[in-house]
Amino acid sequence: MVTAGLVVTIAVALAFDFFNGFHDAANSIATVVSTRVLSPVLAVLWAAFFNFVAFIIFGTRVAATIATDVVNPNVLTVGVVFAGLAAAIVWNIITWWLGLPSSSSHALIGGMAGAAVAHAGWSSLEAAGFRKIIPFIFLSPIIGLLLAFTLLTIVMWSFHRVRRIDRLNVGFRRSQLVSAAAFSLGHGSNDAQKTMGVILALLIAARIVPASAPVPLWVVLSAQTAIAIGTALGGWRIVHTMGSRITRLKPVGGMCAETAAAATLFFTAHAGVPVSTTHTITGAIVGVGTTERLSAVRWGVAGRVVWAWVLTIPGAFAVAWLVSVPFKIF
Amino acid sequence: MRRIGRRAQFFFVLGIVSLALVWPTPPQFRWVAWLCVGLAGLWGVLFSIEDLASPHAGSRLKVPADEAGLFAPPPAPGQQRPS
Repeated sequence: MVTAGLVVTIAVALAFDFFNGFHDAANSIATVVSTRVLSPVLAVLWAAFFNFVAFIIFGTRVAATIATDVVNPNVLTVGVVFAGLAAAIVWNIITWWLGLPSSSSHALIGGMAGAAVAHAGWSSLEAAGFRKIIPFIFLSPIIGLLLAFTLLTIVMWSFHRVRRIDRLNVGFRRSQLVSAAAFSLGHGSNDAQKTMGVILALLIAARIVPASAPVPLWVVLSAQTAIAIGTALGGWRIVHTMGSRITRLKPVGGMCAETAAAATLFFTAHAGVPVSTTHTITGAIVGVGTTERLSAVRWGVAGRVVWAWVLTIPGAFAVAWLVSVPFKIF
Repeated sequence: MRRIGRRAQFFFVLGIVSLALVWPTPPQFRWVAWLCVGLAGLWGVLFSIEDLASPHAGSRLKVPADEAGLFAPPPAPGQQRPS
């Protein structure tokens, strides 16, 4: 049954998606802007378009994982989903305030889990889903790092005899348009689908669709639209952090980092595993920096990313639990 | 004594972390963790060989030899700069 609570929670979920685009999607274009291949405005429009069309290519497996593999669908209520979403938003605000680049995806998973545990105990969590999600929290940045390092090393070996460095750089700058589009596709296939998963969970909780139902088309379109608008309106403001604070990138490095991160995200979207796009591109940028020397990477910034990475799921879990428990008592 | 450098050590640590992730990863995705172990191990071994085989291991020159000549201190008065 459609209630005011359901409508408000769907609106909050779409707002979460909008701010995810506003904040996270800048990662897709950080390297293109920092290497001056595109202006910030053109870059965000480029990223917004490819974020929007991602669902056509990759389907909605990640959304299904969020809706049914994190929390047992039988214990889902509109209140549980709302508390999980609220906790993810609160955690994102706390980490933004502290300057920690946290993952919205991990915050959402932690928030949903915390709200479900407060509502129905530990047995409400789906062990099989967490066995799929947790290893990839650690593996996705490692895959991004190793692929980016390997790719850049192969490119450097292949072109080391070329003397026309300026012409070579023009080629790499152009190829970054393709790699940035690929990364935006990966971002859209991963991050927008988390909101689709939340809305699907809400529809299951309200008994509007059965637990085995696919994601309705209006949910897909509204989530992709929200993340695309968010990307177009705000992404470029934090481009600088990802593009130049971890390590200074050249066009060839930017291309390799994006290609490696996109390959990682394509695989995880195909496998239906929700991962952090922020941490995947961070790993890939560190991989590119490592080809020069370890000191080319600003380990202080990378260390802050790791701390945010470790703390996000337990932090969002705790916030969701704290939000939910008073409602249970009263 | 020749030692392996920080970059080789970094890749070995990555390989060990990836190895630790093989068991908790679901069986259908374990090949991904093994791929990471293989790649990290390969780069760790290659960097170790480079570090151990390099004649300058442990005492890398900060600047290339030709630049060292260019920026060498000026000759004493009455002497010419060596060509």
